[in-house]
Amino acid sequence: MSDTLSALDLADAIARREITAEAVVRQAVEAALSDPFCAFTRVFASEAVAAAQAVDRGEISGPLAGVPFAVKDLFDVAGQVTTAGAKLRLGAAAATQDAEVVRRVKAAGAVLIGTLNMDEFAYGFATVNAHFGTTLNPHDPSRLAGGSSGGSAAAVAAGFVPLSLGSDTNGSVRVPASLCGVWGMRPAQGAVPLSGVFPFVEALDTVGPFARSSRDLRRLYEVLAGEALTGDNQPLRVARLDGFFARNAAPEAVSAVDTLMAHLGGSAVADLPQAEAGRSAGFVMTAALGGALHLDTLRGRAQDYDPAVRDRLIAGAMLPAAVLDKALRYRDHYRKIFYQLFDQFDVLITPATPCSAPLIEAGTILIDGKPAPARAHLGIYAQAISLTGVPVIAAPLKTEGLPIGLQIITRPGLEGALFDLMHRLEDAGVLGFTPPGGRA
Amino acid sequence: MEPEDFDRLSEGAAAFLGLSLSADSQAAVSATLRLLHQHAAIIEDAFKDAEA
Repeated sequence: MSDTLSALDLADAIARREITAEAVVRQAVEAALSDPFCAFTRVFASEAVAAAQAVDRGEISGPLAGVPFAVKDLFDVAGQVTTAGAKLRLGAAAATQDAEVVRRVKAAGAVLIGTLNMDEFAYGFATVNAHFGTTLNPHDPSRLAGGSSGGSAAAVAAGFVPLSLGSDTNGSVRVPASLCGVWGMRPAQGAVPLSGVFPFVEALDTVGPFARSSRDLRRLYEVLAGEALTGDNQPLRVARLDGFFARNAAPEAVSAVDTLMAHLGGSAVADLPQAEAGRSAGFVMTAALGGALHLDTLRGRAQDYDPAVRDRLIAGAMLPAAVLDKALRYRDHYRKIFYQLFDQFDVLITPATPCSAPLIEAGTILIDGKPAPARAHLGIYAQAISLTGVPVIAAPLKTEGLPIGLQIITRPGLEGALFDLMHRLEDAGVLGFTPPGGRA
Repeated sequence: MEPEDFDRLSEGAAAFLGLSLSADSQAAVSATLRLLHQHAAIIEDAFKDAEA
């Protein structure tokens, strides 16, 4: 059921009383409790079943009534501690109310199943967590799921839930979506509320949905943003972004962009020579602002951090203010240049990650010909876009090999038209989710 | 800056925060500081290009 049907089909079947919400939710709970991929950190079995029974009694309704979902463990859930993937938060006070986005998804009738693994404090692209374990890629458990919302992507890819929520500061939705072969979205900055979401770098933080189909993704995004999208299938001018976005791309990433552009019948190339500096500004901002956020806690409880996260935060906290100031000023300059691209194009395409999922044991990817930590570098292409604040869909290429995703970038206001394009490409078999084990 | 300068910065950071870090952690902080300064240099160069 929830492992094969889309969220929209499930909601429809429940509404028609062809299946009960309780049966759907019980199956999701059982799958989550026996999760072999370390995607879930907590399962709210009794609460979820009770909510499903309320759906079946007609006490809860909405466009997603009875559909199971789960959330990255940095969203407040009333009565639960928001760990943000950190051992040092296990003793924190429980949240008194749901994060606004959790409230909205529940108000649409969906049933919360549990919380999902992540890099500690969302600082990483790997979901290698010293306290809660490493999330394994359902397509190949010897490989990384990506991060920091790795549990959110893996839970959807594995079929445990059809929908999940993550956060994306530098690429934390887009990277795991790419490696796990599911749909994800980084909404435009400010389009989805952040209240009740544990912060990382507030200037860049966004909340994003995951799903196994573009139509499910659209519906969940509409619930999160509180608005129905319209696109009217308007024609869009599409270009690929080259240069920085091709420099470190593995053959599968290059091929993914080629395949999509060939299907679209386009050969336009957009130029953004400032992309490397844009990525650098994001890297510096994240380190400095993330370090500043954690400075007081580092002084008192440094030993309780995941060492790999702590060491990066310490370095960031030590950056001179002048360096951060320059990064912030460059962000403003970069945004202006980036928006000028929309004079010529409506949609820009890049790989979402420089390669498909790397082996966990290796923990590195090739950057400029040298092995570099995957934790810090899987998001190089995503990070270069985050600064601009524009909406981006992470779309899985339909492929026989390991999954790889594309960044489909547009300007705020064109989300509906972008989703229309995604639906057409999914219907044509160019983009789309392939279940683990469902390959040739 | 030379690699040993980042090692000294890393030691200074630990002292400033009142931390006793392992040799591996000191090396990781030093490597991250070096990386951050490389990124700062890229931003600096980009500003120069923009002004040119």
